[in-house]
Amino acid sequence: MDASTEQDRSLEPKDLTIGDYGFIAFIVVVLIAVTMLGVVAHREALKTEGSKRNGEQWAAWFAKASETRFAPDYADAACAGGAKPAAPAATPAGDDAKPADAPAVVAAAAPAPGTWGACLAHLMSATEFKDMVNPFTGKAPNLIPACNPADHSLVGSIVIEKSTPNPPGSAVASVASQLVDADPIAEKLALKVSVCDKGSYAVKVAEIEF
Amino acid sequence: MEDRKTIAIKDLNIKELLDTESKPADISRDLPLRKWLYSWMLDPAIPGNFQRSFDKWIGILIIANLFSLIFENVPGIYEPYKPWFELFDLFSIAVFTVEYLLRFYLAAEDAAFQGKVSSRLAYVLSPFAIIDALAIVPFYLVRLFGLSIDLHVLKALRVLRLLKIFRIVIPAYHEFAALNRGRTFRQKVHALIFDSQYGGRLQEMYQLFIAVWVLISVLAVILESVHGVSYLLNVEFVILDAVAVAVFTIEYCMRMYACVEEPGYEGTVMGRFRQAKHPSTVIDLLAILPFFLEVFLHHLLDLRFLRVFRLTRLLKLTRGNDATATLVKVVSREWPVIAAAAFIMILLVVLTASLGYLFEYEAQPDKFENIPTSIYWAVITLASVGYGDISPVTVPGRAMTIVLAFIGIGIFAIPAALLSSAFSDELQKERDELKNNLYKILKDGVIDEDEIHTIRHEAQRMHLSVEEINALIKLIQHDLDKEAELQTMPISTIAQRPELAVEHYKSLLSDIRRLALLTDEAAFDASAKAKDSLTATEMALWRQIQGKT
Repeated sequence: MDASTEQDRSLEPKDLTIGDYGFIAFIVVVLIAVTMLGVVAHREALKTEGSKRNGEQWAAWFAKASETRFAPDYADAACAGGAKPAAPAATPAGDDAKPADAPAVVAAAAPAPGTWGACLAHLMSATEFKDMVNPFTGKAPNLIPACNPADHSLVGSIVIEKSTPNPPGSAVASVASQLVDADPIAEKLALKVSVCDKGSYAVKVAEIEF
Repeated sequence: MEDRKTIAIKDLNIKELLDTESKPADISRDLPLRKWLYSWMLDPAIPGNFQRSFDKWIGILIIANLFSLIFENVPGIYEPYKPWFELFDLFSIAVFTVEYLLRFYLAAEDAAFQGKVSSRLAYVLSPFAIIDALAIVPFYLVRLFGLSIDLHVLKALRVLRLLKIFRIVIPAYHEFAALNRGRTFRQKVHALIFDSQYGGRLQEMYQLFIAVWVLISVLAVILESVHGVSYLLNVEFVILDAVAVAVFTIEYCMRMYACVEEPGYEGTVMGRFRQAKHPSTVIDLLAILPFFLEVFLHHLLDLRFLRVFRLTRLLKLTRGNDATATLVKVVSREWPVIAAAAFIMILLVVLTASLGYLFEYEAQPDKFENIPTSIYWAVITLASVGYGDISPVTVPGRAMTIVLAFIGIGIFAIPAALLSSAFSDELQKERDELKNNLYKILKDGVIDEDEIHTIRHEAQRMHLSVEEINALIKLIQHDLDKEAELQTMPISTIAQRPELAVEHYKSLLSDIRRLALLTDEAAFDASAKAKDSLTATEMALWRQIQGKT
């Protein structure tokens, strides 16, 4: 056979084999699968972003309130600063009259004015916070003491901690602890707002003064 | 038969041979300006002109535009640096406009548009020129003519700039197609993924593409650990990781599919199994596995720690790196000695830790609490790190520390010295190998294209300078000249000149050794004994020359 003819034949385009088609189909499937997984991961990331926006909303409110809440005509009176906490208002357990000298049985103690509990109750009933939604659950986000990666029910929750300064010379400048209902808000507070991400890890949103 | 281009050794210019990139183009100054400019800037057929550099820098600017577009969508980054983004946009438009006008002006010199009624009109209507125009026209419509275009449409039009990259990719693809004409689909995939003579510029671009993705994804992993950055770019990092995983997964599949074309990996199942076991392929798998595990199993297990394994992507860059291959070779070769040194080190650490515990426990029970704690102290002392958080206070303890510190210097230096010496040996061996290769190449007095490729490749691999190659060639040339001279000279003439006699003797010995290497030893011995061809003295001499006695 002529050498040039043989060479020309070797340069002819080769048809795809079944194996080649199989590989191309496999690559397409892999690409679709990775894209779908990427979309899932993206959606989860957007939910975390939504939680961060919730945290930012809290942080923005704290920052704004810290500028005005010590003024005498502050609108959200329950969160106003300056007033020392009053004794908690007790609700009797039943309507039946008790002897005057018997101790009051408190069924559900309403938070005392001047405390974080009273402020929170006001915020959750009368401000935009009552409509806040946890993107992971579709319900109102919980305010929790701390995120815990072992507990996936905490995803999208909000953590508000107060920062208490340590005495000068301490190895750690301040300690963070949960802001509880009984905490007085008469004075300025240093707060840290975090949210729990899709793995229930804490994501710090802001450190602000309230 | 194909007529191959050859160069005689005397005409060989190593500097030119090795320095192909920086060799200036031979373009006459007497050419008309347009032709001269085209030859320097755009003609792909002239080696050494600025065409490749021009394409490269335009390519870099296109990639930079891609990143600019991405970051413009992140308010946290865009807002503070808005003036800089606008400045970069202006700069890009300026460069792309100059490029467009240059190509428009020089279109008449381009063979692709010659012979048309109007070469410039043909250029303007060509697909590449339309893409180029789309990259800049929206800017001028808005800025100069005050046309009101929706911001989103404007951004979408800016994405069109990225299409300019095809001006670089398509010629490379054509070259790749030409190189792979008549080859199967799998062979083409192999040419794209693995180093071979069929890869061309497209393969280089592919390697660069993978390397860029490796660097971007590793940088993303590092930046994710910075709270301020990860807080702002969390979603972008997720998208980036998903795209990186898609790229690396496709690469992995293509590698596994085409590996059977690679020498040593033939066989549909076993070849692929061998490829899958190869360390570089295991690294490829580790680079993508954390993503899949985290997506599928994050509800069951906390797999966040796996994210750090994404940093193994950096190891992908070591593929095909000769320095890494040398390191692996040296460590494997010296492994028994390194293991012995490690064993002595472990022995010493355990022994001194036990003595430390014995001497110091009474005095410092909180620090030398147990032998494992003492092991930490022993290692820190032996390695000459000496943090000082745990230190002996008793006299025997301190005395032992003095001895330990002295021994530590020697013991810990052994593996380092071993590796350094083995590296030096390996490099010397490779240089000797190169010398042998050069010897074979130069022996016939001429060098063909394949041999030029070998010299270039070996010089690049060994990081040899032009001077070093020249010195080697000079040495070999000298040997060859001597050999040739001796071969043509009658033995009586050689005998009269002692220096030539010595050289001739060395040459004869070398020939005998070469003969011994090439011949079957057992058959040679049998033949010599069977026919009494060689005397006992001759046999002894034969062995002595080979260095066997």
